[in-house]
Amino acid sequence: MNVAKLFNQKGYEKVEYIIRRHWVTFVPIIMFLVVLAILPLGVYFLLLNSLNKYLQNQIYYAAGVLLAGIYYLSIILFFYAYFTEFHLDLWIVTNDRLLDIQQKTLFARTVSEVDLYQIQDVTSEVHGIVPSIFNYGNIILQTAGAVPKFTFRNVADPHKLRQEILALASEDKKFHEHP
Amino acid sequence: MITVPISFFLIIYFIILAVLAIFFAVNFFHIVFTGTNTFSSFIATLFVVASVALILFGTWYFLRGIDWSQTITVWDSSWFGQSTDNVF
Repeated sequence: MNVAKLFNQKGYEKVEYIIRRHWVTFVPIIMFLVVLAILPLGVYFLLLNSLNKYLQNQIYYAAGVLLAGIYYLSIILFFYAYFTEFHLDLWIVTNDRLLDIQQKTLFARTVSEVDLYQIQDVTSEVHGIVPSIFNYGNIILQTAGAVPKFTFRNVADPHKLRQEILALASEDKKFHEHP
Repeated sequence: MITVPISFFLIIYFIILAVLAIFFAVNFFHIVFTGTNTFSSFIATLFVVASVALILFGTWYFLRGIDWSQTITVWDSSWFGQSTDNVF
């Protein structure tokens, strides 16, 4: 994946990790959309007898089919918009810095970054039954930079990732102490 | 009494379809132009394109036999009794 369009990669910079939220956090919205998709079918079969006389009328029938078409297209659009938001909400760790790219809505994106040597404290946490089963959670970074706190939300294997970020930060500190 | 042909429904449908198409395109180009194409984004886009094609085909299939020249009454003063006709 070429993420160079999201930030200006320096010549010596190497992308170490591209991190997204764990896929399990995408499942509830899929379930919600499945329920939304089934709902009109359920209502249709429940009210089949009473709706039948209206559906004999071509005008009501045409209006109903067009309305159903719009409804299902809207569900698919909602899915795609949510997926795009999920997909573009990411954290990039390079050997020099850390970028937090938040796709808040379709037309709102925030990009924050901090140099690895400015990282002071890293905390990882896994809370709850589902996060424990699927091993995902948050990583909270305290920094000495302009953005004092970074949070990686619902990322996979946060404890291991914390150690790896600390190792990268330690390497970068050595470079900045003895350039 | 005001009547309109039911093809008016189709015009509204196509206007909404155009708006939805713009949003689909915005999402698609967001993924393409940020250079974050992955296998998962490809699968999601494929799913979306296949679903949209299926829905559009289904809509066309169920509406094949419709006579779009039929009219529907959108306003009739008799709905509100005789009073409105006798006002003047």
